[in-house]
Amino acid sequence: MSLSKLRMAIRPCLTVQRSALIPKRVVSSEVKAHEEMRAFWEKNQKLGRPLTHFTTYKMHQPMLMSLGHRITGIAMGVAFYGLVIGLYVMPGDFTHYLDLIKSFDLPKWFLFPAKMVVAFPLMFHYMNGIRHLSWDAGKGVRLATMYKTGWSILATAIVMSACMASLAYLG
Amino acid sequence: MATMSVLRCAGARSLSRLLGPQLLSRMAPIAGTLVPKSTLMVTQPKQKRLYGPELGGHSDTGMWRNERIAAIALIPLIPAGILVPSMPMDFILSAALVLHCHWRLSGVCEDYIHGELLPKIHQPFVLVMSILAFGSLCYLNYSDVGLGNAVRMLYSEL
Repeated sequence: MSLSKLRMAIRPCLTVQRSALIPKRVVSSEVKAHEEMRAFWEKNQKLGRPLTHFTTYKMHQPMLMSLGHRITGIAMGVAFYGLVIGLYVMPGDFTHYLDLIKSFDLPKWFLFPAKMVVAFPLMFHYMNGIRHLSWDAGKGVRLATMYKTGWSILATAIVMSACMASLAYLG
Repeated sequence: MATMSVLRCAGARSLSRLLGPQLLSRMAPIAGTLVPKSTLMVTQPKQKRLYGPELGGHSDTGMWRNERIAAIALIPLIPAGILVPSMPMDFILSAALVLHCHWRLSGVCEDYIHGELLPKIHQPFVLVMSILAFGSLCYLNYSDVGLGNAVRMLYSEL
């Protein structure tokens, strides 16, 4: 009993000391973190440890969303650079190539899904990017929340790309 | 009460000492049969394969912050650039898009490209492509229809 009272009495001193120590520790760990990570990977390499193949893990929604974010990001980045540089290199201007596509007289049943397929990566990456930023801010990281936001992002992205694809038929 | 817990501790210790090795050896084949071998696929360790972050690379917190700023800026810029296209808007959107693409494509290259030679090449390659893309975008915005209008025309006229 007396021991616990003594502990209670000491506690404030302990917490003060700890809070004084914490900033120092954080700074030193920030500096050391990369060195430690490097040492870890160097050890793995030296020992020749095999890497687990990613197909070992059962696919789940957050994993597929993350994979989808990367794939849509890379695809859009490469396509964006390619199209823009291509448009500069090619002799005609933008309207010339737009008229060229118009002259093919592509049917609606092809154009609508095609435009949806093109718009979907942007919508998905845009919505999921907002979620990634909120994770960076430390919000919505609970697994249950993650599943809910994941499904709603997928649904919203599909609806938004459908809306974008139907813009031509509104007027 | 106290003697009970002491006794339990001692009992547990002696039990584990007795059963430990045998239990482990008995567990091993069970674990093998529980997990099908096909799911235990591993990539073979290659010679000179660099694991994890490249040894020359470093994670820079300032860079991380810049990447988030570009990403956050794109949240209003993308809809604004498409809904209300104008030349200044096109230039701002192009700059933000190229910055975001450049930083994230470099990041992705750093994550996935390993080996001796390629990690040394990918950074300047991405930089050259980004500069070319921004130059082409400036041309599109200045002497052609502009980025926002181009997207609008694709989706309204086709």
